[in-house]
Amino acid sequence: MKKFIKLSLGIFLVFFVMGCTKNFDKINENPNQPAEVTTASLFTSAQKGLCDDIYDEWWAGRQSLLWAQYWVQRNYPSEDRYAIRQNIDNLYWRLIYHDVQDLIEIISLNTDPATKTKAATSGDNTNQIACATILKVWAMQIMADTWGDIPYSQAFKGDDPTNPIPTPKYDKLVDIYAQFYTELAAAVASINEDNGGFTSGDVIFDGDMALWKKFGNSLRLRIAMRISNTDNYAAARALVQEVGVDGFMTSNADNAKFPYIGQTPNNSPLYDAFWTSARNDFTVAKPFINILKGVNDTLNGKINPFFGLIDPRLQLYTRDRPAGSGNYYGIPYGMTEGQTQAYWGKKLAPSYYGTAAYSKTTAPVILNSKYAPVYMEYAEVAFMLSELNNWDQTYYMYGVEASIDHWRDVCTDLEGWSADDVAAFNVVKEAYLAALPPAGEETVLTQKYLAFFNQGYQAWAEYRRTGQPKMLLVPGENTSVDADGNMITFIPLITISTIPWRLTYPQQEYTVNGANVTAAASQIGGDKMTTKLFWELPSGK
Amino acid sequence: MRKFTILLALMLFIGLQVANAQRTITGTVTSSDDGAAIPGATILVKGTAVGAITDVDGKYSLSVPKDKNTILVSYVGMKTQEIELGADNVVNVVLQPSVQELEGIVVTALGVTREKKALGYSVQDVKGGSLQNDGTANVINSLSGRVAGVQVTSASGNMAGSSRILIRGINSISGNNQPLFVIDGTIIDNSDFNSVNTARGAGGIDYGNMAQDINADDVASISVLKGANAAALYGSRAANGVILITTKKGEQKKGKQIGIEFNTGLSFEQVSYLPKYQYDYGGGNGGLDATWEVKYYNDNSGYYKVPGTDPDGNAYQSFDLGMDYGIDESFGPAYSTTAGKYLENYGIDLSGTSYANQPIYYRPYYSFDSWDTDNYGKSIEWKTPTHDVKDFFKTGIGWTNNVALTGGGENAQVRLGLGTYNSSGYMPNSYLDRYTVNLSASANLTKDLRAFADVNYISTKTKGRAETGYGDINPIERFNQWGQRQLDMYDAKVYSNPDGSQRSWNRTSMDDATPAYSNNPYWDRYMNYQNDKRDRYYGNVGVSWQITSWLRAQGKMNIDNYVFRTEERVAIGSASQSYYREQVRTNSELNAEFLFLVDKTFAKDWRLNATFGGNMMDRNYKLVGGSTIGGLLIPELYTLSNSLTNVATDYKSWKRINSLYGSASLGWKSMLYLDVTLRNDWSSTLPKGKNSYLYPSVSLSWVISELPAVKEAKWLTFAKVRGGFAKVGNDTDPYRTSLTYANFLDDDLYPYHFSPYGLYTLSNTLNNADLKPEMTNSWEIGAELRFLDNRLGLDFTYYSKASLDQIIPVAVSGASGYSFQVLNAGKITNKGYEIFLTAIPVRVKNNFEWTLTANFARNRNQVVELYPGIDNLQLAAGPFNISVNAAVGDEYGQLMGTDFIYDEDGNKVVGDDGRYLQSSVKALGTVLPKYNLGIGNGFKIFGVDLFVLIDIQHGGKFFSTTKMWGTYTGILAASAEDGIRENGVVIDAMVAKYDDNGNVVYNADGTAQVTGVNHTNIDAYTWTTDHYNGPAAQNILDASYVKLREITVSYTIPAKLTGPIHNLKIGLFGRNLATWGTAMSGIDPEQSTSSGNIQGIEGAGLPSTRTFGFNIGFNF
Repeated sequence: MKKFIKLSLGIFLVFFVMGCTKNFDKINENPNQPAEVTTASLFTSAQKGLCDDIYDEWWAGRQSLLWAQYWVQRNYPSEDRYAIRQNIDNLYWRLIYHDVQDLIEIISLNTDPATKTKAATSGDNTNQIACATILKVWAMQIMADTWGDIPYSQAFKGDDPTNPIPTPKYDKLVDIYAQFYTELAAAVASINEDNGGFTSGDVIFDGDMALWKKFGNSLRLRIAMRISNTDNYAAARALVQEVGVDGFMTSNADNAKFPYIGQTPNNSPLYDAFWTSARNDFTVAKPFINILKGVNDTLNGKINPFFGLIDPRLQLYTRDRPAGSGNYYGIPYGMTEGQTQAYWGKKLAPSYYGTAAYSKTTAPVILNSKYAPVYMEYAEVAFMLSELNNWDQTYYMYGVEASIDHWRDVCTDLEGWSADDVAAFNVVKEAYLAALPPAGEETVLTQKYLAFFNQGYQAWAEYRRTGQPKMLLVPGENTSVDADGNMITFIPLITISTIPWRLTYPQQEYTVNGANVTAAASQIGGDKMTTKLFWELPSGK
Repeated sequence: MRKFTILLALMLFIGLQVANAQRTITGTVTSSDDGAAIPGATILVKGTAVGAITDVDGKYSLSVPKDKNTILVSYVGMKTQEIELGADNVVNVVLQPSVQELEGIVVTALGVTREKKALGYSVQDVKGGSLQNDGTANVINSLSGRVAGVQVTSASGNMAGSSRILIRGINSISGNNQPLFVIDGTIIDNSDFNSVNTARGAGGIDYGNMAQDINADDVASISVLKGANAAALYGSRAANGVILITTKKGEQKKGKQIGIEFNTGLSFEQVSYLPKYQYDYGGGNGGLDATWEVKYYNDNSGYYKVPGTDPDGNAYQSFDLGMDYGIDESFGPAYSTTAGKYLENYGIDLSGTSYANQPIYYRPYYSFDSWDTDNYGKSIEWKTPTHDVKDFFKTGIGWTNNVALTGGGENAQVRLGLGTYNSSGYMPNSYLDRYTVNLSASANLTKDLRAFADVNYISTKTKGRAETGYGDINPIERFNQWGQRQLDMYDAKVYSNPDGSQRSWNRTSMDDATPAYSNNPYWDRYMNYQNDKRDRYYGNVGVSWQITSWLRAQGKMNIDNYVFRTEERVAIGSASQSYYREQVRTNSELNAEFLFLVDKTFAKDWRLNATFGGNMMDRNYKLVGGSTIGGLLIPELYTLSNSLTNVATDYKSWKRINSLYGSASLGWKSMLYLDVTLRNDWSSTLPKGKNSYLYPSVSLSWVISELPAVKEAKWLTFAKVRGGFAKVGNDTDPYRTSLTYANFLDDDLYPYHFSPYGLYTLSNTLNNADLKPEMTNSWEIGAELRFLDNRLGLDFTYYSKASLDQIIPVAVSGASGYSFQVLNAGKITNKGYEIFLTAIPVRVKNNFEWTLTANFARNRNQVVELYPGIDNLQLAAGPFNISVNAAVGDEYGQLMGTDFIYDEDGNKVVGDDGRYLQSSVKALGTVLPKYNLGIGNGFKIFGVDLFVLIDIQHGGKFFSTTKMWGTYTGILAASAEDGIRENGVVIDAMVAKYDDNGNVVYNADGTAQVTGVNHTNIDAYTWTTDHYNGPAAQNILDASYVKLREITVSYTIPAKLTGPIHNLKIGLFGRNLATWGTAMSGIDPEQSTSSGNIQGIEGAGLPSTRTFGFNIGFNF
């Protein structure tokens, strides 16, 4: 019995001691996740994350690629007719802000005296900050152009140690643009090419700061050009003056893009959409294909600026069907579900991506597992310089050729073109270039549109700035003729008479950041797709 | 246990005076349950304080005063019997177990048995016998409708899907709000491993929650400790109440070496509730004028022998028609369409041919396979299927067997229970087998020292748990949301071709057999199945030392360990990419505790029950899993290495809570009782300096009927008022206080790298280094009244709770850089009352008795505050158009989505296109019901017991994804009623007024101005698709229901007929036999795909079922 007394006393003591909580810190140390990582790994995550999110099946395939009328959905064409999926925009709003938060973290780790020495193991502090800033502005401009006023000055401050802001206010788009411009100017100015950039983790330029500088300047030009309707090109002209044309991207070698590895799980996002998820509801749209084919829009009496010219990129952007027949089809844009069904069910336009007719190897190159989405490329710079110089012919030709070369090189790499293939293609290219009508507003901007294929958000924004290309279909216009010969008109699912000027704010913002989004909605004149952004085409132009 | 009861009973009778004896009666009290003698039963002369207690052999002797001739015989857990004395001086009594025990002893926190009347808080009991009879494999579901204030939501079925149990509403905004499960003092884990996607109805397997491992047959009784008052001693996790389960124990059988109990039962389960489908139109989405795919032949092999010229100008002899195989909708042609109508539309001259008035014949999807000689090349009639969705389901069968051996001597008792449960589900290719072993033993090592152990081993093996929600391999989704109505289930049974490829109805086209979106439902069941196995042991060992007559010490180790292995697969040839995933979860929880118990009577009228103890809780959880990435290499080889690439993932968590606690209960004259508890916890999950928290409780109980003045009132049998206050602290999950970086994850939560670079990203959730413990304050008052010799009883409780400083991952604006921030935020209150009514309206001697019990509970919840600047917390976004929220000022679980626009008179408003206008996102109603009511009717007709339980829920809302997509795709009846597909729809609404700019004119209060009644006809397809494109409010349904939850009939065959077998009892049961009062026929509001807080989103869950069967039990 004495033993038992001892035992119970012992138990008692154990518990008494246990009141001390010495090892609790150790118990609560997360064994699953690191507390410190390299800025290099954050940078790769941000680069990949932004491409994964902006160039994928949902935010591109069911949104920007539709609205720029590169694509249509062959089943369930709701977004084609501007009925958006709220959950998708809820999600992508969060995803893209979060991708950018990794860039903010890189900036903070390279700035904070406590961490900057350690961060420097991934490269020069200042240059890391510059790279992160450029990529941040690149992504945030897409966000701003999509919605208009968005949180910016108070954004990314959820983790601010002194004043965390879980519900950031929305800034005016015009102020955000000014901020973009200032930040980019400072970032580019701070770059010291001799110190090198990220020593690892920079998939875009592998730490080449000269290329980052060109990317930064080119992005400044994009931003300056986007507001041309409001300042009559003053900012863009001043920038060219300041930087000189050689300060921008000067060839395709300067292009900023993200080459996917091409092996699961690092496939290009559209490859995963079509082949992994087997969601092949998409095909190329008739307005886009008609421009490439050099035919007019007879249903609406619109003249193709490249009438009679077959674009060499036609065979790269889509594939003829049956293979080798030279027949390319785009499905009429903006039809109802039943109309679309009747249309393709009768096989009048069998050119859709991704059924058994196309295997992984014969599908167009943007569905290749290694396809590298483009952040920004030289062709765009050339078209901007042409526009700035009163539709300059030389830059126009540079732009067209750079775009065609870019796609040719992508195909050469990913589809294994032989030297003969390349040579044959170049012959077609030269013939096309030689036959091109001269530079002018419509030709330059239509070529820019053709070059922007897969960069749906840029094409949609440029349409909103310039109204080009005119071949794109506007609600109320005719899109097709049915089997009985009746005209089919493009009637959106929402009340709108133009291509949307912006996206309505994600519904989730109304539940988690209600006061600020409501204020923003009234500030911009109503949270509607018909509300114009300040840089968009003024009415009357 | 019985010894202890004797002791207690003896104490109760201290002070009883023996009156002058006139007559002495003797006899034996036995139990109807097992025929065994009952020691410690009380025999009381009615209207006096004269009484006696049975001895160990169940014998008693009682002197009855001359003028009295009625005795009351009572025992804990048995129905009190009133017996009129006849001439015979030998009165043997057989006591029946009571279903709802009003009197006597209940088990309370820490396993301490207490007189119920001494408690200052509400405890409600359910006896094991009544659970055992109802045929549910899941103890949790059995509680439905039986206990006031307890709301059980479950996906029904044998396959152990999730059950959610809620006691007195929602306390925690982000926690799971599940009560603590305690079995014989051992806390057992009730985790739910369902993903957020499963919970929000976006697809994924429903693995159920872990408390389902409990074998109903081993349960002796369940006490539900409802308030925090009842549970302060279990600490944080008891803030949501405690389900306290006592298992059967070994006992000494008089005159026998061994007691054997046997129980067997067979149950059948059938799908009882399917949505109302339409039966007039087949698959496709071309509507009435749908065109058919055509295949031309140069010979006579086609079905239609009509020569002509095809669109390419080639001559043909005959042709076949193909439908819209690739469309998973049912907006195709009407079955009544004649071939003539179609062919003429297509420009085919029918003069002189015989097809004009014939039904359409088309090529079914299975007519393209040359190996299938019966069907190859043959057209069939376009018609409603002979074997519809209901024929897909089988009758599930569950077979329960339990054997228990009990025995022992005076110093040691043992019970060994063995149980098997073998079931096949109603979904094809599914089964669940469970084997349980329960060993409970105790022995007096010395006169004062007792050792005890309860050990349980449970092995569960399952195959074919169904995916629920909007997933890729869920057949229900294809039946109710996206599918074709003309499919015949018998045809679908041939789900693969001889080469192993899938035979999908959803082929891309006539010439392309690739599945477009959907798998064949049988392919999903036989090829894309999952399986799992769980091995679990839990139990406790301990010693108890009676130090003095009033002081006892106890040391105990409680352990709950399980290993849960799950395997999921998608075969090559499915619509989505093939994969294999294996996960092994290991959970172990150890609670080491010591306890001192004082039970002392002093100064005659005073009695003290006190405890002091300490506990160390240590929980370790580990997940190791792997998944193939990029598809399988070899078909049907399900290993992780059979993968293009494979990824392993792992997760560990460790948590410890140390606690010290004490309680004191002081009783005076069996009339007044005061309870006080105090506990301090130290938790490893909270930051240093904030990880210690102290919380008290106090309660008072006053048995008014003990007052001399009241005692005389004949009509009042018993009266008690009670009240209490309690505070409960709470910690959080591990690793929420430090900032860490996350792996870049793919959709399936598997990490990956962008070779050669690592991919790390900030976590989506921002942790918080300054967390402090949560606190719940609650108080309750109640009264318990019994009248007319217990013929009428009323137990009433009112409670009010407030939970403060909750630790919540608050959804914040994505623009903050994070999706969630962990914050101490919020105050949530619950106020409500519970009424438990019992009555015996009719009692005809021993021949007929009708017992009525009613459980009523009404809870009012309010989210009072969240966090400065945040007035809404999104708990989850549904897969479509809806979110579940906690909004300040509202009830928890607010569904938010777009609403209709109304005019100032409350009419719905349409635009000038005749379609509903849509508001911005707003609150559309809470998922919480207004009240729950369970009505039990027990009938005893001669020896037959009949019990009927009706379960009623009133109020609450849910979002029906089935209604939305099922209407959209033309599957549900609503999409085809009243000829709308031919004639269109004119929505009964007012037309909005527009200004010159084409904008709708609104009044200041947000209502729209209108111009008149809507006359615009819209086509059916616009109307149905607007269920998705239009206001979400169209798919919000009321969650009220009335269910015939249970009918049980049991009869114990009289002992004289059964020879050596005792207590041969036969029972019949039926569960969920009927449902009434639902908002939309065929859509069950009682659906849950998780036990967590994400509720109120219905869609493609498993269909509701009814169960019926029988059981037989006996002992030797």
